[in-house]
Amino acid sequence: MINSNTVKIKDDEFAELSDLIYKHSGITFTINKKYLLENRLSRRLNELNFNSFKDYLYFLKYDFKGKSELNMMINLVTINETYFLREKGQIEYMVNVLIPQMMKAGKKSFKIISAACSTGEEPYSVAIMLNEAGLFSKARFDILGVDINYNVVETAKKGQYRTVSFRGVPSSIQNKYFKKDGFVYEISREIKSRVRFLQGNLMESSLYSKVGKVDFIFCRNVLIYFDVDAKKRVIDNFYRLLNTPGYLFLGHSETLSKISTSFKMNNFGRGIVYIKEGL
Amino acid sequence: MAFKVEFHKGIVKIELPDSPSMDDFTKIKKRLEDVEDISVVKVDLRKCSYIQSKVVSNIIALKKMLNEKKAKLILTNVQEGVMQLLEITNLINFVQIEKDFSSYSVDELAEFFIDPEVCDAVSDYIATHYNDEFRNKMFELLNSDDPIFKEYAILTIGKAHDVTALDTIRHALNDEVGNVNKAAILVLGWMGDEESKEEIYSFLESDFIDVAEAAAASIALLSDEDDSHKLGEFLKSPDERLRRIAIQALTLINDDDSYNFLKNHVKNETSEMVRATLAKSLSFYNKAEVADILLDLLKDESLKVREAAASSLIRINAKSKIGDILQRVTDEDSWVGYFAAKAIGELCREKTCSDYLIKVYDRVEQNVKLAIVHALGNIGINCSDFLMGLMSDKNEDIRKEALEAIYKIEKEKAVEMAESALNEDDNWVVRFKAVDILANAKPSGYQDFLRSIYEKENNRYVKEKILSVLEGL
Repeated sequence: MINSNTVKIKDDEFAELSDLIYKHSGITFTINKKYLLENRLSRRLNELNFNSFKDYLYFLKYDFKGKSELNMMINLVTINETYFLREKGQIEYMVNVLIPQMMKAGKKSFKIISAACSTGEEPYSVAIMLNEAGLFSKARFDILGVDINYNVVETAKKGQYRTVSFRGVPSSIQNKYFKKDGFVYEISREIKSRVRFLQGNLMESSLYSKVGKVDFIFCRNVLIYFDVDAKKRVIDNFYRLLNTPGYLFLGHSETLSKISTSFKMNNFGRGIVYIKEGL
Repeated sequence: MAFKVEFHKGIVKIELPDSPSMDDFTKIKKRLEDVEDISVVKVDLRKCSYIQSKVVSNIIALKKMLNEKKAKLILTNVQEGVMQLLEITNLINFVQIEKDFSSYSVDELAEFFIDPEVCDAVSDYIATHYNDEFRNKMFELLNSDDPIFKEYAILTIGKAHDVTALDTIRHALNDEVGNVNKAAILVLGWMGDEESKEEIYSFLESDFIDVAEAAAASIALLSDEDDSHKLGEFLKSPDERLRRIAIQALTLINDDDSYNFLKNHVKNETSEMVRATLAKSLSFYNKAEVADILLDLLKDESLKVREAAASSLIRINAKSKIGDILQRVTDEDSWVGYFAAKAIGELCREKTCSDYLIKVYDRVEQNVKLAIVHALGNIGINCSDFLMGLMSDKNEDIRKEALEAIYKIEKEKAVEMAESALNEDDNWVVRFKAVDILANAKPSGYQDFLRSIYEKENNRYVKEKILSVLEGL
């Protein structure tokens, strides 16, 4: 295809581009993720008539449009593909075990944050499962989706999805909460109204002052893109952000081992939760 | 559970248990000690979600032993927890890490289709090793409710060229999911299924650009003498996107008729985006007059079109137009100047070109300066004095480009400059390039020099680069 040839990236270009991405997002692209940058940026290079990543780097650095292009580039490389009810064991544990326990202890208001929420499937999944458990009538829930990528946050706000977002979702849930219009599935107004979205960088502490204290953080399949320093910084921020008790859910392949000793780990059978306990 | 070892033509594959012990490594080393003619040892960590620090030291010891045997150690299927440990211990660049799909069962491999990071690589692997077992699994996935499985089953069957699935794939053109349609369109093109061509034409107008582009590509693969005319009609469409898709399809057909349609359309096209697409498309034709058309487009009122025309000049071999292109180096639009300078670097090997570029150097913007320095290296005429002067420029990209250009012209001088840059330049981008130059030039004693630099270097990219050069040895 003349518009979508994959442009190969050289080692020095890769190092410079990774450095730029790291400085602006905290996301690390190690050398084994070279193909990911090639795949995600080649179309953009073709659109700009560039046939090498060096041309593109110079465009980012020396063109007056470089700054806005940098934002666009960060958006392109940070898209995190996800789908509804992904790794739902953790959401079920929160909805069916942790929240009822906390409600029994007298808690009436909960704040849940989906960090790096991409196009919103995760926070909407949380809202759907809270609704399925009938919890919205019993307590107050503030569900917040955050992502660095402005474009995906805007998509999340629209709440419109294609079939690829429904891998393994039971049709009863899909039919109950989504209205089909051609190729597009629009999430119900009720669920949409339960979730707020915010554009922000997990590395920056200013984000956390906007969010306030929270009870649950979902940050799944995100830390894998950060280097150790960035992981430590994000996890420290999460620790400060959480109430006591507060719960952190990571992706199934992610771990806090050698990153933080502040949390207590609990393996509940269908997954792991990291707990911030009282002193 | 114990580890497993397989030997095959100098390659040893060792599958570690979920919690490998020190004892496992002692046994592994003992088994490898007496084996001769090992070229690669692949240690498969797919069962290890985590390993103890002691195991890491055993991996280092194993690597040392293999180095002595002149064999390479590769860690395969490393999970995130282990990756994190290697990163914390600064060993991530010390060992080669790869994905080895041969360790997985057919069902496990198919599950990878939902992982966007590896799905394409898995599909390629299955297609390369296609057998009855893979075939049965792919046919099972063709009937799955999950569009991702369906899409990748179709693509994999297409890559394996299994035409027994043709009917099912034709049927997938009616699927309600765009990605499935796209996969079916592409595969029907690969399989040369002319019966589907008419139906594929209807996808040129799809709402999804990926589907429309796939249709353009497949129509080109299935084209006969009538298709250029049929696609030429689409150039009259009021829909700008459809005209661009038709241009793509015509370019891929690349015959005389398609060329004439595109050439004639340049004058009539009103949209700057489509004219820019035409500028690019025409450069894929090997026709002498393309250079004149592109030079005309350099006068277009649209910046986008001028830039597309200038970048296209690099693609064609317009040696007879060097004079015209040289004049564009000082164009008021610096990106036209940038592409013009790059084109000169590709086309010209004469002193007149390098003299002209040096003469206008001070008059142009920074990006054009970079393209000029790059072009001077490609032209190859000795202008080392000019380039060496640039090594004290305050812009690090200029210094980097100058170093590379000197290397192309005068290798010994470049080695000297690279060594001095590694000791003195305060910017890592220049030092990275310097390592690259030493690695390519291989002057005597460069390994020791790089080792000494490694000790004092504080930038991680440069350190990684040095390590990769020394490891490669």
